[in-house]
Amino acid sequence: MKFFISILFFILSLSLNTNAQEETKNFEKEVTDYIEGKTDVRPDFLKTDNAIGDKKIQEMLDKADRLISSKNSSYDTTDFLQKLKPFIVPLIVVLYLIFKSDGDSKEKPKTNTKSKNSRNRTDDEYNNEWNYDDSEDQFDSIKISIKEQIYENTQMFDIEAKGPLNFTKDQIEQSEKENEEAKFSCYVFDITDKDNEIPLQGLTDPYKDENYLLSSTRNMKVGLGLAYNDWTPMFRFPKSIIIPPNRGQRILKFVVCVSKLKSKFDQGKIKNKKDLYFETTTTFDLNFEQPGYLESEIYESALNEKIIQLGMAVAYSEKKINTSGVEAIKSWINTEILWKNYLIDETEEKVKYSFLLKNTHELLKKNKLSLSEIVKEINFKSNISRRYDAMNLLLNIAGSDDRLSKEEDKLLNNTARALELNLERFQQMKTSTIANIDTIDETNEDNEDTIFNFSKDMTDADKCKKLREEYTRWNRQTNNSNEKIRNQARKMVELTANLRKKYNC
Amino acid sequence: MTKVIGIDLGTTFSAIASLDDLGNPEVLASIEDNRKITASAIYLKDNEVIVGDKALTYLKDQSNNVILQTKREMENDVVYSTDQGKWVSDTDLVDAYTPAQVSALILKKLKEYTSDVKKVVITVPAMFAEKARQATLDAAKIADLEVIELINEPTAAVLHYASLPGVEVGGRVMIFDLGGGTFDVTFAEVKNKKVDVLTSRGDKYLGGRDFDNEITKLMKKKYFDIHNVEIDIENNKQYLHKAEEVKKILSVKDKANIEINGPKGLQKIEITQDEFEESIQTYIEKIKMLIEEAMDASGMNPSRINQTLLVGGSTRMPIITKVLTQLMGKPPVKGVNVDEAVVCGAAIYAGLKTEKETLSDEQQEALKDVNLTDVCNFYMGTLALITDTHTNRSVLANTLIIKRDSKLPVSVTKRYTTVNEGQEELECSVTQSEGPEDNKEFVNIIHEEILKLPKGRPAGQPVDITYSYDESGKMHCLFTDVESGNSHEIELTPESTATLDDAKKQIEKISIE
Repeated sequence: MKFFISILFFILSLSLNTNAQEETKNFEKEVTDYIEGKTDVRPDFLKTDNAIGDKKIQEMLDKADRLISSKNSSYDTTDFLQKLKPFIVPLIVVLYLIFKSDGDSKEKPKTNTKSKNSRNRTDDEYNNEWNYDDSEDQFDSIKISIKEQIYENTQMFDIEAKGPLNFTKDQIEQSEKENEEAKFSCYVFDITDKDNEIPLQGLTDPYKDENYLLSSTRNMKVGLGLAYNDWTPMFRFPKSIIIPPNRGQRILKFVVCVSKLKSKFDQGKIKNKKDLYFETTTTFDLNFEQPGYLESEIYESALNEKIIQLGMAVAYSEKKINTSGVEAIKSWINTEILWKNYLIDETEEKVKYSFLLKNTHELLKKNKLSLSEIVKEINFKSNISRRYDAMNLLLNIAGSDDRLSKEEDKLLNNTARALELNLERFQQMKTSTIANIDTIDETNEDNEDTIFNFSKDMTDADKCKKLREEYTRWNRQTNNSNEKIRNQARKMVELTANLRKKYNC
Repeated sequence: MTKVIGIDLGTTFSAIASLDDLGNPEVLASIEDNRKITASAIYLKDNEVIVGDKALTYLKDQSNNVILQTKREMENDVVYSTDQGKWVSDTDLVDAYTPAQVSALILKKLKEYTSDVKKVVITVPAMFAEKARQATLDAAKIADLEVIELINEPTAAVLHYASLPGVEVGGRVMIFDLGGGTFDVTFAEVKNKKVDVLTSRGDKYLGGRDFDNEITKLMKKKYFDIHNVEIDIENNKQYLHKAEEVKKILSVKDKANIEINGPKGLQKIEITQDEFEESIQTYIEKIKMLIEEAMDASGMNPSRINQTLLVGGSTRMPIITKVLTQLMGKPPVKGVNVDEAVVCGAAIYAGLKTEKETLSDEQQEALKDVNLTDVCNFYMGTLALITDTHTNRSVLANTLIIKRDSKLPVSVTKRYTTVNEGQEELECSVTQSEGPEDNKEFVNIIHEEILKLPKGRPAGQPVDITYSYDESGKMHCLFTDVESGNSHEIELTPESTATLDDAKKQIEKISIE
């Protein structure tokens, strides 16, 4: 009943903008379907480099513009509405009573954002709800919310926006002086300690400002009456770069500022308040299980030592020291520690690390180095990106003598698991190492299993699937212009096919 | 009138076909022995060359002078040394021949089967690398042939199947192309004479020659079992040729006999079909994996495939029918000459690509409903700085612009931004890969150039990159600095760009028999 009345209400109030709304809804549906994985066809506006393009956002705003102008065109239908005028007031009264009684009998779902649950419903349910919500869920001004999404296997935070961008006439006039554009900026603050609001750091392009604070900025065309009609991704940050100062339960504040093009920011806040058109904020609770950046600074030196010890373990995995592996460690110390920390006393540090290498070698010879303790400490004291760095070093050590032994390979596989790395990503990293070496140790029969990182709990069917993936990965490289990679790829293709035979795939 | 010609330049056999007056493809036979397929074998001594089956007769006494499997070397920087009797990396050797030159000799021979040949369509394996395609075009240039286009072998084959009057081909089909040196599997939708290619996968090191090698290994093992003496069979081209004969026998009989002249005298050896099939299981696994991969890529499963079409001489092996029947749940379509499907398709495609006015009314009528939609066989991209979300570091990585299996023509624009303040140059690179790789080591950079940018601008300036790929495999790349409008346009066409005058002169001295 509610639905039919809603429809009736829509027909009366928005009868003449159906086409524009349809167009907008198709657009919304396209985005929703893509986000929900119902389609692989990425909506056009998500197809640019950083996934959200200014141009496409602009198109969306243009669509909203068209919608509004189409709404405006409904004023031309005065005659039609004049005829209906006697019915409108009684109808609103009836509608009010019906909705009130409905609301009394059961609490209405709060849907100021579309939750994941609502997105899992069928299209019909979704559309019905949308029609219903459309009459209720309108904001007076633009709001933002944070949504965790996975795009191309990467966890992302989407900053979604909904509602009208209420530019005043003065602001529009100002923007006209700047090519009808405004600057949209997003900063993130840790507000767990209410008295100490800390802007998050950003070290990675394009997610940093000139002061190395985490941010994202874009210029967009603006005008009167523009709005996001549905929750729409406005900014996007990879989850891995959102690093608060400390580990544990954190409260993050996301701030989106709309300002003059030439506005400047200091510590994530606009320098001159007159440059700000408006801003909107939201908070997000984050349980951060890795060390925050302040803790990372404290752990840095100890962490480097543990990574070096792990590297030595790889260099000693065949119970004799791989000297080229040790050279790789020394080179890593130079570039990752000494070069980066130019304020430290280089000679003193070199002596310190020489001792560490020597002592670790002794411990390894006596079989007294506990790798599980080392990995445990690395896991506690590092964020995931540092662990990938560590794995990169281990792979360099293993491949430094142009061969990958079974022992090295096994240790690498076990370490990847222990460091809680994404195994698919690890396998990609290992592929790169294997592609650039001459020899893979195939002397033992079960070494083939090690190369492809089969775990004990894998069934033959799992192994067959994995082998097919590996075959695909390597067969593609038989066309590589680098002869070394091409030849290695051919060997690996043979290996996968032989193993498939072994497992009766 | 200039003839409409298609050429199948194969690893073991080659063929040439033209459209007859009625528009039907006709494979042209050798003038000397009236054979329609010509062995891709060359006997080369001093300035004398013998191309075809006759060259194989020299394997016994002068095997160093016989060149086989040239197609497998097309992408490599090697030359054939008649002194050493093999392909070697020393490209400065005198009296040595590049793969393009050797292939040119085969093309020249094929050209003799008819007159007035100028423009041709040449077939290549679907997964042939850019360099190998380039070498094929170089070969054509040396042989004084103008290439209208290169066409993928399975695509040519399905065109032929779709145009055959006696064979009903329709719906979703799998084209299983197992030739002498390469294997391609292609999925396509066929409706009347309209062919829509969905996807192709291939292995450049899987073909009849590999099966021959396995037979030589069996021969060696059996000889050793009897005499306890190792003999070098694998590297003996004569035995390789004998192995091929054994394979052909085993395609129709349960066992085959061969005589081996080893250090302990002449020894008769028997090889059974079961032994042979067991020996090639690794290759069979590769075939199965490629079919699975192609099915995944095109969203197919065996029940959705209406027919399996066979192409290439190696599909005559009974194990292929057995495996395909098991895998697809139905036997493949039989009754078509698997050696001629590719070259006939090439001739049809040449007809489609020839100016209408040069075709007769009958030819135009025969081709009027033939339609081909192909796909892009590679991912095309560019190198750019991206954030590695695992390490949070900026890395120079491959970013994809055109996806593999995109229907042609296709045009995609992606926006990038400059990285540095005052950046005055932009490195425009065009990459090609079979997989959606981000690791720059795993892609081939097929073009690099610099785009000049205006001075004194902040970082983050938008640059639009547009890749447009047309049906003929030509790709236009446009790099545009949005603010200044500066742009850099590249047209990437697989075409012979090398200066081949010397290569041509060397070949011109040779008289071909």
